[in-house]
Amino acid sequence: MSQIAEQKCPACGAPLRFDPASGKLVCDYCGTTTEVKPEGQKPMKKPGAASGKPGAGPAQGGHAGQSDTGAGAPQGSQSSPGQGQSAGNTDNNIDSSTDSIEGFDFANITDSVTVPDAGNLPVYNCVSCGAEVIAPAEQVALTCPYCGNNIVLTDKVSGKLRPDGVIPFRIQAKDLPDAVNHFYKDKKLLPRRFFSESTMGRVTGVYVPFWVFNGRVSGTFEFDAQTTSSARRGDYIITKTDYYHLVREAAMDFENLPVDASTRIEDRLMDSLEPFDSRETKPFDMRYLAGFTADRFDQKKEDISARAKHRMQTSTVSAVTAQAGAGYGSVTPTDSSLHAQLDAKYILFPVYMFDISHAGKNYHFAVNGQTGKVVGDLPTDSGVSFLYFFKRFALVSGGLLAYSVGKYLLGM
Amino acid sequence: MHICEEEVTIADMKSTGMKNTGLKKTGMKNTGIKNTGMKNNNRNETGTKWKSILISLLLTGCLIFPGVFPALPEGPFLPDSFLSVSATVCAAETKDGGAGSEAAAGHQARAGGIPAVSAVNGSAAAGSTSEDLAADDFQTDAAVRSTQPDQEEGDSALVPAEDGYTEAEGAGADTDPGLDENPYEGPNEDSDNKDSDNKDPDNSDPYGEETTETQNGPEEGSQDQTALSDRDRMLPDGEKPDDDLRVGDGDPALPAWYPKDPLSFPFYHDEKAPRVIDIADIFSGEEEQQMEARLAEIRASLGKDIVILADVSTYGLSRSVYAADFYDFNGYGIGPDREGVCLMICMEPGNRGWWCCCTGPVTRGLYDETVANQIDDMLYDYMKAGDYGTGVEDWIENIRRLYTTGSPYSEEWAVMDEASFERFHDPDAPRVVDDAKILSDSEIEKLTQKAADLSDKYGVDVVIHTARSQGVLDRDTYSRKYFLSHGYGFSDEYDGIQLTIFKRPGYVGGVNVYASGKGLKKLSEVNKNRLENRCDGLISGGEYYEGASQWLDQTGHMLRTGRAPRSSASWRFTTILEMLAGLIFGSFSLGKAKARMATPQTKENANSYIVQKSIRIRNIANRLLDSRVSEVYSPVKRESSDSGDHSSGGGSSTFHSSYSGSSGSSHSGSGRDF
Repeated sequence: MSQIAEQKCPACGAPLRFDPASGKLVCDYCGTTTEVKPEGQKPMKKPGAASGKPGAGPAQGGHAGQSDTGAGAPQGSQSSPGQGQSAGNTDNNIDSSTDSIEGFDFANITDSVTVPDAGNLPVYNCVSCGAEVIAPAEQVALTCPYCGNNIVLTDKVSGKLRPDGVIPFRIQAKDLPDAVNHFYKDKKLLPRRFFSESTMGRVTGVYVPFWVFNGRVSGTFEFDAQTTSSARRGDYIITKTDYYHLVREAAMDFENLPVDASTRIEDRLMDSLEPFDSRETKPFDMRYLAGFTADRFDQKKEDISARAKHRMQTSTVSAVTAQAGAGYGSVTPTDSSLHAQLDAKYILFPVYMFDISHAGKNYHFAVNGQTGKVVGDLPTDSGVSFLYFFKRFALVSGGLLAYSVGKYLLGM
Repeated sequence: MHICEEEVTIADMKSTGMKNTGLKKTGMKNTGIKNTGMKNNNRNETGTKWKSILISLLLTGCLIFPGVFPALPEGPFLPDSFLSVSATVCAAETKDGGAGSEAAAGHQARAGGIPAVSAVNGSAAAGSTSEDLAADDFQTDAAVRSTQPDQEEGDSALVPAEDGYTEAEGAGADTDPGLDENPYEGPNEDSDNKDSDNKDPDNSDPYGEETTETQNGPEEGSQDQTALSDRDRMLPDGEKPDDDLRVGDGDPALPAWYPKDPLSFPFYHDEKAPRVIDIADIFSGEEEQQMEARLAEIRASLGKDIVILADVSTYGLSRSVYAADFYDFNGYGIGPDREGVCLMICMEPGNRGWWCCCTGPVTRGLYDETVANQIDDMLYDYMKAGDYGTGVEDWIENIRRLYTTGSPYSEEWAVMDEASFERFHDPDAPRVVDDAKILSDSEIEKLTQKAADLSDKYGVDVVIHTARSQGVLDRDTYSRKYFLSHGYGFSDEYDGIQLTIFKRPGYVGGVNVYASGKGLKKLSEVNKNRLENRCDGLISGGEYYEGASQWLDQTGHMLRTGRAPRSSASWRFTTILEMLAGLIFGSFSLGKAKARMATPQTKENANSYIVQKSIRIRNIANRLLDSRVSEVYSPVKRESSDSGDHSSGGGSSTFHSSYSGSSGSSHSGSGRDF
């Protein structure tokens, strides 16, 4: 059986939960609060600092200073430290000739990210009530469905799977209504009975796994550019056009770019929750998970850096194009050869999740547990939309018409 | 200086009869001329040799240095004796009774021009009347001129020819009393004897000019000093030259009325000659009659002859010469100066155009280049449009106004000084005045009734006036002057409102609304614009009656409610614009609202995560691949020279300040092709 960690009140033995408001573990029964003291902190790598160094222990760096409580590498997920990705390790590099990813120990996680068969799901026993709890493979923390005890599955967050950090919740669940109301405030096209007929599901605080990248994108860019000048000579306009081919080398650094590492949650929802304030990142401590649900990453390694690289490259290309085109009439990118050197961290981000049912449909919502930003799909009503449009149309048209008539009647 | 000239001439002519001019008897010696030695002009009286030499030198100096020797003052300052001399030898004063207060009055006294042939002077030696002089002289002249060689048109070879004098001497020997007895006939105004280019009715020093011209030699168009002046060639009233002096049908290359000898053909005045000669048949019979009547009226009232000729050919002559010849050889012109204007319209294919030929100092003085262009601009539109009758009628009116006011466009009724003008009420003034001739009688009647009803109902004088042109005035000023000049307006405030429609062929019509008193209180700027714009739309389309009628309706509405009604088209346009604005705003707002609804979006870039100042770019290469040059023709717009209300159609006129017809007589004129 896998190991379970529970946070219990030292005074009364009741389950503790992490209180976002105070940043401490709180006992809802006796009110005892317990500090969450940070354990060892993983050193942060600066962008491009460790590129090309064989055996440069990204795994060591990723786990330096961490102490696990009863953590053990889950079965099948053993990996030897030090075998992190390096420029010379073709087995684990995403693209050994161009890109490199360091930081987290991605070694041997290929098997870990796969979802095992239902028959192979590990079974846990609740420490408080002894009930058998079967948790989804990606779930790290949960509440015992029988006794309500907060359970942390330590095997999924220890060893090589231990997150590098966690951003604790800052928004409490009771603050959500205000945040949601503020969210609805400017949503004018909701169905009229949306609020009266919709039902809000349970609000769940989830620590969502993110890969946070620091990186450098560099490469060669080629452009076609042209300049045009005109002058008049008598009755003729003389136009001269010069065509150029530009070659530029550029590099750009990025930091704290988060990429959603969970397939269970929609990427666009998580992207929309940005930004998260990375300065509040704390070294991972399972006690932060008390009272919340947590997931661990389940993205395949090939997918881990693709999105990050894509976003970085997009920004790099547009920035370089803008600067390279200075002084030219028009600049068109023709070719580019980019390399990305990435350093990834595994951070848990706080997100509240809930659903709203309306007219037989479920609408998913997410709330940034740090800033309170609410995102989610909302239903629109065509009738409301038309009425919204017509009101404004009538207001402006009618106002202008009334103005015209008034002027005419006044003889103006 | 003039007398000096005579002295030189007379001094050379022993037997020209100049001595019998009677100058001595008229008291020339009182003028001091005697002191200059003029009295001793007779060469047979040598006096002292030195006196003769001195006189000769003095006279030569007068010729060479006119500025050194003071010129005689103008006519009014001359002693009466001198004036009476002029009166006896010149027919100008007695025959040109209609000159009146014209500027040519000065010319009466001036009576310039040296008599070219002594034969003329000889007949006047006894102080005979101008009629006697004319009768005898022209007979003599005819005999004289018949021996003179033909001269071409405009030929400046009308120079004193010794042969001419010899012949004249021979011809006139029987009648000439001789030079010594009457050396002077007296100053005879004959501008054609001198260079007529500088002839100016207002010239204050005519003798000075003439002397100058003489010193410079005869210029183009000037007549031979030996040839007869226009006045000299004038036949007495009622007399006409014989038909055998004309080519008749003998020469198909010339019109039948053309003289065989243009230079000697006498001038005459034929009151009964038609003034509208429509050989080209461009006028209707009614138009011809109306023009004839109008021209007769102008002759009677102003003493100016206006002739209209429409022909299909100029017989190889230029239009200017043809017009001058027609005028000269057909008995036109009033007075000794034969004042008048001839409009010749040539309808010859390839040579279509007109020429306005002016004769006489008054007419030529008024018809300058500026006036010529103004009048021709107006006429061009008619000619181009083929509306010859209306065009010529308008032209006649402009010429008439030119004679009476000095400007072809100024209205005689236009009040110059409005401040001092005593306004009046004319209850009988017509409410609808159609000067532009764009309304029918029935339409005028309907509009008049409608206007009267409005006037009675609202106590405001409602007037409609159509005009061809506002002339040199702006429309508001024109309308205002017309309103107050014709006594419109009720009560002491002259309550009234007037619509003026400006319509001239070739132009798009325009309107102006003027109000006074109570009418002005209702006519705000907005109302004025509405009334004008709505009326203008119909007027521009040629719907004059409809436009005026609609204006009356809208004016009634305005007088009743205080606001001129807006057209339905205007309301529609405004409403559509307002709806469009609402549509744009509504669509924009809806788009923004929809954008707010869809919040989850996948991020495509990492702009928020760029490390500040981390971008580094290094230029590797900037290769110039190609360079291309293209040219696009884009001519620069030049400013149009068109200005104001006057069309510049056809360009500017050809203007001659002085030219001669085949008769040798000087004219001025302008013309244009169409």
